[in-house]
Amino acid sequence: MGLSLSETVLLGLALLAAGGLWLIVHQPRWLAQCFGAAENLTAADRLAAEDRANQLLRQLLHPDEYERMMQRGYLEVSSPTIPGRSYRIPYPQGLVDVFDHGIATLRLCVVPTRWVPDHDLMIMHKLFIEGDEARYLRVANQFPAGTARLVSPMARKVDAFHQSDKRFVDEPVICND
Amino acid sequence: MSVLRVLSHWGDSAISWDAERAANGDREAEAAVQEAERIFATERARGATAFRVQAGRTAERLERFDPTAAEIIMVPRVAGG
Repeated sequence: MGLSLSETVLLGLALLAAGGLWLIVHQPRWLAQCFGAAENLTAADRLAAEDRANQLLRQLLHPDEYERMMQRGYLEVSSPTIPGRSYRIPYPQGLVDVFDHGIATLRLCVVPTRWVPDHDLMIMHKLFIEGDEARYLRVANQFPAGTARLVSPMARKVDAFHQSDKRFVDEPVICND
Repeated sequence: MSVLRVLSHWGDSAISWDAERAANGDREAEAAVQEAERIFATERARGATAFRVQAGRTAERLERFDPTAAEIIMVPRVAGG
């Protein structure tokens, strides 16, 4: 007993609806990637990413420089274009302090538009300061030295993600102080 | 060996190639260079910035893919936070 045309169309529509419902419920990772949607990282994914980023940071820094950073809590990078200026990149993240001839003059906030591990944030600051300082300063939100960044509702929202098992990787990092 | 690293939420993804072998016409090495160049172009189109990194030297911004660079690191688009 064959199906009529209308029955075949209805069956096809039902199958399509069931498939769509399944995709909405399960949200497979490959589909999210296809559409550029935010991807969730598990705690294990995040730890692996941090470990990998830490390895890269260790590789980029001289062992003494890495040791100093761990002891002091910041990485110091000299300005390649402004005499007497240095930048203190906080470990693992936060506002970057600018020192001119040893005096704190500015605080900068520059963040990637996609989430990256904390150690990669330090690499990002170092590379931009050394390789494209003018653009880094142009892009940065600048605050007077000594000021603390007020925590915005958005920052609280991101903090909540940080404390949870999963994170939305497309959430930009906020310069928490 | 040269390497291109793209910083991402996975830490970084890397592709390496042998610039000398590619220059001598080795097909496998040439294919690796082409793949690295494709990734470079894709990431640049997404707003990433590329830096040439060398031990003991400060980073240098790269506008174009350089197959002779020892290490290239691509940083995602940045903004004031």
